Order: sequence, then C-alpha cells, then structure tokens
Amino acid sequence: MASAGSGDEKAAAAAMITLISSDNEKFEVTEATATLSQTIRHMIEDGCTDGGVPLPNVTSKILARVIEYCKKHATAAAGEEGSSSSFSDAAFLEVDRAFLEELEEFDDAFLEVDRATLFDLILAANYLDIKGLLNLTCQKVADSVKGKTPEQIREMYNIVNDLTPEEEAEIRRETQWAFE
Amino acid sequence: MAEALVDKLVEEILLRIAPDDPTRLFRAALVCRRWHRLACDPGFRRRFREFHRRRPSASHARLHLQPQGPWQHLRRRAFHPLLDPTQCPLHPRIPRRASRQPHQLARARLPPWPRPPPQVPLRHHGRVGSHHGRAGAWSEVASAKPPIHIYGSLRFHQPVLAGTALYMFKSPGILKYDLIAQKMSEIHLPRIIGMRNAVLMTTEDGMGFTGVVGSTLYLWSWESASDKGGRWAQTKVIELEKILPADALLTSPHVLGFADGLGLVFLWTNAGLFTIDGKSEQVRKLGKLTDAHGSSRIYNVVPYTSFCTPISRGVWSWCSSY
Repeated sequence: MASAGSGDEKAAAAAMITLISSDNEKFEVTEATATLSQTIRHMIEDGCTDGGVPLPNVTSKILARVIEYCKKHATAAAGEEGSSSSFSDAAFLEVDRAFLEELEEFDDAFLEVDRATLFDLILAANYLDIKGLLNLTCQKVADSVKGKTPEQIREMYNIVNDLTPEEEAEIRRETQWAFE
Repeated sequence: MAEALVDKLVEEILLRIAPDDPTRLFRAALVCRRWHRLACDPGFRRRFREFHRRRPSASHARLHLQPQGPWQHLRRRAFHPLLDPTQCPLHPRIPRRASRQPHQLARARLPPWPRPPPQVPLRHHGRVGSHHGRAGAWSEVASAKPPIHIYGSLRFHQPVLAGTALYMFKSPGILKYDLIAQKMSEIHLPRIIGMRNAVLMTTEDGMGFTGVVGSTLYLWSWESASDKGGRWAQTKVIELEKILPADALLTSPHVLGFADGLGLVFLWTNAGLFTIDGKSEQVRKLGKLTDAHGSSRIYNVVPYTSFCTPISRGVWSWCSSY
C-alpha cells in the first residue's frame, strides 16, 4: 500500500485518487482502496481519473460510509496476500481467523444503519460495482424478512401493495401451506 | 424506499432469502406485483437454486478416536477364548485347528493372560480436527484435557452444528467441539429415566435434544452460560396420547430425526411415521411404509429441504432407511 512508508513520495502521491460526491465533497483515497470498486478500477485503467472521479449518484454521507468499508476491506485483502505467501498451517490459520473475525465484527457494526441508508448503500454498491458490499447489504435486507408477514415487509420498506385483492387471494390459495 | 431499487437489485435481495424456510420467499412474493413477478420468473428460480447450492459450508470436521490407556487389555479381553470363542482364530497362539471347534476351546489349556482384563469398558480419547475451508489445510488436532471417556461408541450419524460448535452424542453425554477455539468439552445429559433414544437438534439459541419416555415427548435445550458451563432446560413436554391415534402408541414410539429450521420431530410409531411440530404440536402423518418382509420399522430418517420457489411447488421431503 502507498502508506507503507516507502521513501518514494511521488509514487505515494500518484497512488491517491480523488472521489467527488454528488454534493461536491472531495475524498482522497488510496488506489488500493478505490479499486475495490470495479467501476473506479476501470476508470483508473483507462487513465481518466485526473482531476478527480465525479460520482453524481452518491452523496457525501453515503460515499464516506462506502470509503470506510473499502478501506477496511482493502487492508484485509493486503494482509491476506502478505500472509498467504508464507503461510504454514497453524500460524496461517491463526492469522486468518483473527482477520476474518475482525472483518465480521466490522461488517456487523457497519450494517447498524437505518433502512434508508441501507438502501442508499445498496444503490451505491451497485453503481460503484463493489461486490462484497452489495452482497453484505442485500443479505442484510434478505435476512430482515425472517418471520415477517407480507404486510410487515411492506410496512418495513414502504412498499405499496399493488396486487388486487383477487390476485392476492389467488396466490395465497395456491400457496396456502406457506401461510399456515 | 425499496421502490428506488431497480429489478436487478430487488432480485439480488430475493436471491439471498434463506431457502431453509421456504415460507420466507413465498411471503416475500406476496409483497407487491413486482416482487411476485421477480420471484416467479423461471430465470430467478434457476439462479436461486444455483446461488444456494454454490455456497460452501465454512468448514468440515473430522474425528479421530485414539485409544488410550488400557486398550491392550481390552483387545485381549475381546479375544479371550472364554469370553468369545469365535474371536480365537485371531490369537496367534491358538492353533487354527482348535479354533474351528470353539466348543473344545474351554478345555484347551491356553497360557494364562499376564493380567486379568480390566473391568472398564472400551475407552477412547477423542480427537477432533476441523478442516479450514479457505486455507485448504487441516487444523491442529485438538485433544481434550483431561481426556474425555467414551464408553461404547459415538453416534456419528446425528451430529449437529449449532453456532460455531459441533455436537454429537457420546455414551454417556454429549461431545462438544468448538470450531473456532478448537476445543473439546463434554456436556452431561440431564437425568431422565427410561429414555431409550433421542436425537440432537438445533434450537434458536444453540443445541438441544428430543426423546420419548413412555408416551411423552420431551424437548430439552442447552442454555450455555459461559464457555465452561450451562444448564439444561426442558422446553416442551408433549403428551403423545392427546395428539396421536391410539394405535400409534401400542408400542413405545421412537424419535428418528429432527428437521432443522422447521422444528419438526420425526417419530416412528406402530401406526406409521409422523412429524410433530416442536412448537405448535401440530401432527402430520407421513404414511406407513412396509418393506418386502412386511416390516414397517424405520431406523433412520434424513430430512432435506428442496429449493422451493413460488410457482414450482416443492415441499420439503424426507427419505428413510430400513
């Protein structure tokens, strides 16, 4: 990583990317962090990141959270590469387990957000093409329907029921066993 | 809020709905017209199956048992001609000719055993190793200190994974192997007189077991207070006389299995196979199977869930072995 303390100031500076949110706030991130997003990775590869990367679909509030996620997971990815080159059974497993546990704790804490933010994070993860974040956030929503009736799901996520009573009755009749 | 998501993202969410309880996806499909359309799409059904089939289990464990202590003596006891003449051919010091006539062995003058066979039953020192999925290497072998004694055999066919620990019946008690800490420990069973068979089950908080005494079905759950200890709590007592037909209880029923996620207990009775919902006590008869010899006895049941998506009306199924 650029911050690894190499004396090469130029290389470190070159590896920084500026992300610009929809409300014009600028975020400086390392390339390693930014390239967790496939969208940004492609932009870097195409050499069109000079002067910053405008992200008109992402607000500064959400972008800050996304960067927080990417920083953590980029560190983990770097650590993984470092240890896998010299792993020997038990020692590797020990390091690996500690990593995974820490990441899991981070992810759990990261998902402690209100539902509107969660949906914004899904949209941002999709737009920026960050697979891990999309998986994490979608799984959180999927898990939240556990033990909920259709009415409760609609209420949770402000979804308007546009099924006619006849259609609803028909579906319920076909799948009666699921509602017993 | 959810309206802002394009179809692809709603689908990503629906894909991740856990398949172990099929009612979840069916309920989600009733939320609105769009969710119903997406969940009923044949492409979605295929992806749903693929998504959940592909997900690997985090790790798997293997168990070695290493005999400790008086193993040598036990072997000798097992081969002792007076105890088990049929085992004699294995003894190098007994002529083969003699071994073919077991009734003569009592008279054959065999050299005395150096020491009398110990009075302890078979004793093992359990060792469990877990396989770490990512690293592709086996973890260190864990052994329990002090050793956990196993009298008889482990019942390998019904281990359960609850939280981060693997549990299996041993005789007596339950062997717990913590996959993260890689530590083994022993959980003593509550004193229940007359329980002939029981199966382990997962509960909302962890692990438990269910078994029948006479005509009463008991469900127990283990409430672990700390790493070291915990206590058993009787979570349900179901009087089978009230819910099963009278002919089912002519002989004592047997608990054969437990379907995780659904909380169903599989019970073999004289009148056939039943499932009982551990919470609502709802009973369903699965029928009576008879083999070629006219026996309807079932010894084992393997519950499994097929991938259930709206439109493709699958239901969970079971298979059994005679």
